[in-house]
Amino acid sequence: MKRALASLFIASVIAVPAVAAETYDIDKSHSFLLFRVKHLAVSYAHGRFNDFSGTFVVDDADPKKSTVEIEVKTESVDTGDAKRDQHLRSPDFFNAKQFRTMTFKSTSVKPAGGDKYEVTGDLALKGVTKPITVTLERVGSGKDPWGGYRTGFEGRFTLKRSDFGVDYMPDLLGDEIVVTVAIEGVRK
Amino acid sequence: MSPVVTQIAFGAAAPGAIAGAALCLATLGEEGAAQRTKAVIGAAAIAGAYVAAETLLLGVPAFPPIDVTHWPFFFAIGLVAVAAIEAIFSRPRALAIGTRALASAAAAWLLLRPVLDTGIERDHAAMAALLFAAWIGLGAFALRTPATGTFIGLAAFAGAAAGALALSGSALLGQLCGAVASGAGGLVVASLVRQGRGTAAAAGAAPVAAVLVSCLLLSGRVYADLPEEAALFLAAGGIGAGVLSWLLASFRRAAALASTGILAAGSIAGAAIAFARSSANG
Repeated sequence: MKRALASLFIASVIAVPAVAAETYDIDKSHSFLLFRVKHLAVSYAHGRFNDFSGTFVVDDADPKKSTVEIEVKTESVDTGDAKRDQHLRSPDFFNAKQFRTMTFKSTSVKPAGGDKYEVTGDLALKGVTKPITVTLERVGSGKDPWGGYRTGFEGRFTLKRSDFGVDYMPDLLGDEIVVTVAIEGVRK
Repeated sequence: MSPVVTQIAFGAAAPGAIAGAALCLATLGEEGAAQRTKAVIGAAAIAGAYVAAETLLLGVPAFPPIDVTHWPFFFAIGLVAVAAIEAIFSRPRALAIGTRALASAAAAWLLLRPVLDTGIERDHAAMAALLFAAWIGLGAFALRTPATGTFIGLAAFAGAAAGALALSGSALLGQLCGAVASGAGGLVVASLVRQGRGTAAAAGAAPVAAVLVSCLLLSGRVYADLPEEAALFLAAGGIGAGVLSWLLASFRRAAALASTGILAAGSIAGAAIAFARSSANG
């Protein structure tokens, strides 16, 4: 009987890490922060941020305990046109010298059915912090060839740039920005 | 109204009309009467043009502004208060210069504060010093130059700075500087209508225009990509105008010509450098 209880205890201890929260570092090389904005109301201009970092915690047993934190270097904005990028970094838009980073920090995570999670958090951009919600879908998880373990999420959300004080040229550029977040994390 | 018409109406026509109307008001009284009041109205003409343009184009910024490039909006208002204080209280010249030095240092600190944690770079300090020097220089220039000449010089200086800023990655800073140029342009027209009257108003308008343009140049240098040489040439034009008008004080006509000439030369050189650098960068 004692042996059976001991075995049960050991089994439960071993089992706990499998369902406990797992922390992941964002792999910048395989993660993407993309955006699009309407140009002259006739087309979409697309861009991305190349330099960002962050971590996320995935708790499959209790998704509410999951968290996401991302920090983006505003200077890394890249639309494939050096002149336009210079303009986006200027005080007309991001003012990247004053506001060097934008950050997202989750405040709640809720299961949204299947592999989807509704992540709500504070987005801080250009000195303004506002809550946003993004539905992230887990794309997959698994071992990589180097012995690590990875998982990836993707989601899309819309924000109004004017809400964050990025309101110059409203007649030329749309107010709504569609942001695509595609992150791959390496388990710590 | 189309976006282009709106931008022109709000960014150029409105500030020009406001400044011009203010000068007409300042020159309604008899010559020689209430010169100090006229200087305050001159200061209010440029400040009002700037505040109106920014309000119409972007709305009233929060105080304190989140984005430091909106500080000149409040500096404009503060400069009118400084002009009013100077009109009410006679102060020794050294005290007036000291006050301006302190105000320049405070303005530079407010504008540079977000980047000071990475250390004060050589050109930041130089630009802040030039801000003060341009204030003194253009103030001296206005005192010794006929009103219309002063307003033309200010319009050229602010216009060239606006062009340089717009070519250096910030249409917004260029547009705001353009509002100063439009305000000065409105003063030129009003001065011509009033047959060259308005010297006292010019003495009040010049320091405000100098500070606003210098602050925008400093912002352009630090937060956009205004070439250092462009900013230096523009500021040097303003300083040179003051120095020449002081050196040639005994030769009024020659002083006006030489100082306006160096102001125009510095302005053209600054804008040309920004244009060349912009073209080189594709």
